[in-house]
Amino acid sequence: MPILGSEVELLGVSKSRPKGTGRETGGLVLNHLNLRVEPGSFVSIVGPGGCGKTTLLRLLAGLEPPSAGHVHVGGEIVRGPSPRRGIIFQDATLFPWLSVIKNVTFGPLSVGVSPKDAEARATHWLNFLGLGKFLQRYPHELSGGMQQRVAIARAIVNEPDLLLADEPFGGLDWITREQVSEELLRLWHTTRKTFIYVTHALEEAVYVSQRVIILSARPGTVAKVIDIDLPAQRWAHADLRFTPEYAHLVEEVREVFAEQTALAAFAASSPI
Amino acid sequence: MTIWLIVLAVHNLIPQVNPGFKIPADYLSPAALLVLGITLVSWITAYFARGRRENVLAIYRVLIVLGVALIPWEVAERLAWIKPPFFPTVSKVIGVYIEDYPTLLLSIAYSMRLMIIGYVIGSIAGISFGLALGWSKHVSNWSMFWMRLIGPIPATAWIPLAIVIFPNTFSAGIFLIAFASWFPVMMLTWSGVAGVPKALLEAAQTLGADDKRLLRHVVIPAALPNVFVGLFMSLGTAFAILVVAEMMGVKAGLGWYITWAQGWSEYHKVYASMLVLGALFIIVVSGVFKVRDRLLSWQKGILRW
Repeated sequence: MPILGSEVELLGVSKSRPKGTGRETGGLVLNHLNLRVEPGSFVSIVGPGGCGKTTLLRLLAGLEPPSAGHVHVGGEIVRGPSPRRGIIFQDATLFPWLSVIKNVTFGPLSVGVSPKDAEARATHWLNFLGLGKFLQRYPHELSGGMQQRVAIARAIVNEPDLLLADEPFGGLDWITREQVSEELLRLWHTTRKTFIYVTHALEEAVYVSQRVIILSARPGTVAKVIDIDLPAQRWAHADLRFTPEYAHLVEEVREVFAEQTALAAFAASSPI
Repeated sequence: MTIWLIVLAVHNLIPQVNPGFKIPADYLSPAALLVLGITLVSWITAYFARGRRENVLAIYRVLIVLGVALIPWEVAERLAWIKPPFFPTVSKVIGVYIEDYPTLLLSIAYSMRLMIIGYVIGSIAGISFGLALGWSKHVSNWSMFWMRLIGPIPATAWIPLAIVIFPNTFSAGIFLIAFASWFPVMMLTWSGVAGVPKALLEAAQTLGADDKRLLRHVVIPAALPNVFVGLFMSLGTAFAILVVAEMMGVKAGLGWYITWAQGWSEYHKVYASMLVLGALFIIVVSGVFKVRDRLLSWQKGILRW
């Protein structure tokens, strides 16, 4: 049994932004959010648009500080970015001047792994993700799905205790999306690190995770937590997506989600 | 080919109106014959090596335009419509390369030395300043105003000061060229650093990169395309300043050669050295492009030189 990933705990976390910055209107984004994620579990976060999902991930990654409350990962307060918390962004954000293999060795080389080991580790994960033939290519020579897989390899190669993914498959077509998310699931199964996966796709969330957390409309807070009681090795059950249990769980998530989206629309239309 | 035959015909068949006392050596006829030879050889090459066709066509286009330009010049000169010394004969201009090449080569060497030293110093200073400005808020907050004030002062305006400050005209020339190349390189490096996508910096940070690694492996490569734009821009100004600097009193070099020739009313030498300057510029630019193509081979759709 591999060592489990980090436990994640958010205590009364709020985040507000000054008005007129970024793509959103400013004001309170996250409101007194409490959340606990078990070590080594796979958790999805869904919620209506603009509810602060991305902000939540950025707080966990240490890219931004919370305005109030505490973010704990592995029993420590998050004080900045760390290679122990990997993140896969919405866009692959690969370094365009580095080949695939060099993109992936960037992390290990940054934390002082020897070049030889770094290359071995990078090659291992790239092979795992089916990119063994493309090690020397540049990112612009790859398709969107392949780029995103390189980004997964780059995030996982540092062996972080917590892996964050921010709608990593948003730009991909459905078939690629299913493939890559299944790879992510297999990855989680082998590494047993803590995975937190932010997504728009409710079915995807149900399919990959042990737990789905639905955030409320902005300012975001936890609206509901739904445990997903499906077999762990899901790829071994080809027809899982067609079982009534699966459909039922998706429906349950969808209902809460629709409720929150309606609330968001109502809040937007009312003059306050 | 026919065009060059016309050139040859014009040169040899139209009788010279107002011949001087001394008949100067004829360099146009051998040159035109040489061109005809080149045309013939490349024609044969193109016939046998199909892959070379594009190159041969490129040579042809250059030669055709050159020939078309030479015909009226030669006609006007034969009929004495234009007068030496300000508009010399084609033959005399070609003659400079044959008769005066030792001085010309020496001038090229001196010019290139001045130019390359000044340009390299200016570029290094520009890149360093640009990185510092883009990287550190303190540096940009404190120095931005002064950079903006001093940078755009034309390098030529520094001439009086440069002559006084520097012990000799050579070092003053280096200063002027370095100054002229410093500012564009600095501004574009700075904007390149400022334009590094935040997402890439964040990705690197979450992968464990410290500031040193961030600068060396993310900021510099991301800013490099912009740096090269600055390097190309400054190359043009550096060339202009090179000629000005040499005219102000350097004892050798192409700028000096031009002023010297003008002093003796030897305008054919002025023309000849102008052409050399143009050719040198092409060579230097190609060199910088080569470096860029190597360093930026990762870029998609890059313009090849």
